[in-house]
Amino acid sequence: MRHSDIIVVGAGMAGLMAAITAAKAGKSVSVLSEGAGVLSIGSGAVDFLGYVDGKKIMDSPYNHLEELPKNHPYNIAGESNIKDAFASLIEISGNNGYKIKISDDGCNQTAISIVGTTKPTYICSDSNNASRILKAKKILFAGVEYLKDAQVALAVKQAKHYKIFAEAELNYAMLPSPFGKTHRVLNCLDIARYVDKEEGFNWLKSELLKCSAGYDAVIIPPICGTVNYIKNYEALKNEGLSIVESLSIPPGVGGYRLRDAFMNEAKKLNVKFIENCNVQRAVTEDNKCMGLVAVHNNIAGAIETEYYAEQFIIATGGVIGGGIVSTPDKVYEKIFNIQLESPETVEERSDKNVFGSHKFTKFGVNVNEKFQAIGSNGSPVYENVYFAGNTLGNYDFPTEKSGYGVACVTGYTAALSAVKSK
Amino acid sequence: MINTTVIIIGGGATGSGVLRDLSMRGIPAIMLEQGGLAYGTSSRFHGLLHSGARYAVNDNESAKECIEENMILRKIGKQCVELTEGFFVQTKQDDPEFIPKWLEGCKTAGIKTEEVSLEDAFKLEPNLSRDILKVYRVPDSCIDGFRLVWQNAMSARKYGGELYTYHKVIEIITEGGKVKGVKALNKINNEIAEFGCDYIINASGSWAGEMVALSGLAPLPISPDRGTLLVFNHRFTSRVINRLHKSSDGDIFVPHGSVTILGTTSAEAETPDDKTPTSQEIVKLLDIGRAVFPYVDDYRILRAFAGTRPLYGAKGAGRSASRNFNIVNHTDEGLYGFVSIFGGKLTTYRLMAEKVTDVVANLAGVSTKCRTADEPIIPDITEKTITKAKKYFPQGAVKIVADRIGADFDKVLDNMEKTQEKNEIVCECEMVTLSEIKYVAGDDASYFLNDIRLRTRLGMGTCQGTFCSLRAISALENENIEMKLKPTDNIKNFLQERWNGLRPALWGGQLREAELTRAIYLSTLNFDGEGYEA
Repeated sequence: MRHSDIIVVGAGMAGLMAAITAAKAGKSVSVLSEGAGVLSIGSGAVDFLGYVDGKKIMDSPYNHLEELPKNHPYNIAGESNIKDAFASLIEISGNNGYKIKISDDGCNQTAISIVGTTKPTYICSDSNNASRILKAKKILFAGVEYLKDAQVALAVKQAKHYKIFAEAELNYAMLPSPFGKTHRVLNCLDIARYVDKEEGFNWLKSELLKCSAGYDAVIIPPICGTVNYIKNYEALKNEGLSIVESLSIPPGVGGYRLRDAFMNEAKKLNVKFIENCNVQRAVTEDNKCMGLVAVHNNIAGAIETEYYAEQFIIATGGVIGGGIVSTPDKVYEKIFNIQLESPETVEERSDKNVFGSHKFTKFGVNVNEKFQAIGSNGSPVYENVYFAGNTLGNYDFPTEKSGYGVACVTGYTAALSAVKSK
Repeated sequence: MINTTVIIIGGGATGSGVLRDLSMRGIPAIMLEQGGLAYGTSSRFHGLLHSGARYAVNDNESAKECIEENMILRKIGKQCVELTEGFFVQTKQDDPEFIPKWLEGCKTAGIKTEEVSLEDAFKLEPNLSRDILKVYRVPDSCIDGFRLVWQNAMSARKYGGELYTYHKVIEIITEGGKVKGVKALNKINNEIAEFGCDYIINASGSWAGEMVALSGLAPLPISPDRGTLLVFNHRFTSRVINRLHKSSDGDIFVPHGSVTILGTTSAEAETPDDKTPTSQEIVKLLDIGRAVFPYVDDYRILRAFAGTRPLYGAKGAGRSASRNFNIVNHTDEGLYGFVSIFGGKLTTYRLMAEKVTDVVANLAGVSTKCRTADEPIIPDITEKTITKAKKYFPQGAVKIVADRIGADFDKVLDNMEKTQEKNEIVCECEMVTLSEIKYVAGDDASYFLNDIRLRTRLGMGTCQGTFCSLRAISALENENIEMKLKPTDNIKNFLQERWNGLRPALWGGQLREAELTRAIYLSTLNFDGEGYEA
């Protein structure tokens, strides 16, 4: 039996933000996590709000919060918490070797993906920020041989569709693979890890210098390194290279850097991590949660362990993270078995158009301003349990481009509620 | 106007079998298909090469045809057949009195059965329910419908046969009681193409009634019947597993590559295009399947799909070749040169093709004998080629790719050798190589990424295209191979097709996977936002 002031379930953006926020306030915090979380495979760019009802936002997203429903997590948290959460995120990340920032004018910035599509994002590293090269006249898309997920011919063809690149000359080049032919498919993380080493960095530098003469900017996959990313990126800048790293599909490297920064901070704050910990259910008394029961899968089979705390923050990642479970008949929050609103038939859960507006994406726990789950009468179901991130309902992160933003803000705000309680 | 002797309507198993048969007999023929090859029912069944045991009691004649054709296909189409064998299992819910009748029926039809002890059966199929009472072995097998159709078409091409995909027949031209040709809508460019011919073979399956109506004859009493099937992300059985009872819904499990298919349901369909499975059908299939595989709910459903069978009303003037399938020579109704074939099963497609080709050959005065029962659909690749291929293909992939690609395997191999594309895998689930994709993309009948999928199995495995569709499109772009759609639209088209099969099963692991796909394509790559911005 273990005891902490606060238990956080989930080690993604929302969980880590909550854990660090609570630990900073002097609480003893344990994080129970099943795996490494999706944060580690993401692109690392923190989207705040890129679209409302399909309309793109390129000014400050704060100007558009009113256009979102009242029960949208951002509107529940409120503008001041959003600002504080983002400031805290930037501070944590920057203090731990991953410098990310909001643009000087507070507007959305443009990021570019490995397939040449662009998207509005809010907080990102200097290397992910493509806004700064939009005036470039000659841009090179450089790929790496055998890196199948980043094909530059496609990226150039796609980028040519955009007005922002209409004036620019776009070309592509392929850097020879440092590994030659490999027996499994090479991904961005493989190369980024190689570039962490001196040998790898020298490879990247010399290959880029060879092909980039005459170009105002070079767009590469996210391969500037993981732990040595900042050092490498600055060194390339000193060589006169204007580099933009594109956002990649998993493993996205940027998310790995971000998670690394969070984990460093959490260690400094003595946050305890219990991994391979699959929380099954809660032990409750009246409207209070006493503890959580988790299963650890190991060689000896499944072992159940109980974890106790005063306050609990649930950041289990919603449908994608496994925190929300669905069957043909119902949808429910996994740990507390909270039944969630869902349409009567399975067919109604989704739209016919694969990229359409789906009801399932908004499945989630309804909460009050403290991020406690509320029942149909509006009062909290459990007074010491708070929900954060994708387990919350009423928002659609893929179409809004609000994923990490909501996770960061709600993790932060839920932790503040937990800390303030008693 | 393009002229030929015979127009075949429908590019399914029957149509492509007919195209091959006619071409082998030296009769010029063109096959028209409204979608990609195997667009209709030939790609929408459970992929079972029947031993006939399923029909042993109710339709012994069909059972006989099945076992005969089963044995022929093992020889001529071995690249499409996986010799798994099959089990018939009796659960507690199944009437024991059915068994002696069934054994007798199998014996009459010439289907070998053998009782397997429960101990052996559970050793061979450890996931089977321990409540099963009896197990019999039969010569069932698995067959890849897409591949069978393609390889028939490829073989036919070698003999001079031609095919036009994405051509929907919209008019049947007749003159003085004779067929003269057809008009077809080219769905790719929306133009109307005219074909002249002396004979038409209507092999359009569930659409056969519609085609007869186009000719102005009294419509055939064909009603489409929808069957829904489920694909699981797991090969949890190595054999075809049938319930030992009177044929019913959801009682066959068929392993295919890395997946298992469970089917089927039977419900009246409004149109032959009614291919959307419902969630109720899926839940029903799972409920029934649990008696054989109790943990069936634990496997992630990759997708559900449905196809329509053409059911032929008992009345009508069918001069049926057997109770199994029907051939109608409309010459008898006053339209010379128009012949319809419908009904039947994929297992008997070759026999159906032979019989209908006989009818037309007879009209045309051609007496060349049918050779499709003897001549392999595609020739074997040589030992020398296999040895060479092992240098270039990933471990274990040579046979898989050779079976898929068929007669042109040498071309793919040559390309690998020249371009150094050794081991270049685009789709890891199904071991699809870059060379293979390039080769298939270069075929005249490949318009969409979906066409490549059907031939190579790209995107048919665990990720359902989430990762590999992007890679495939990127690779094609890199090689400057133009497709009909621009890259982002092609991927969207591909994911949309996968989505249609996922929607009715949107719960559990499937829903989670769908959310991952959205996270990648919308959240990271912004396909919904700026993917299409001009």
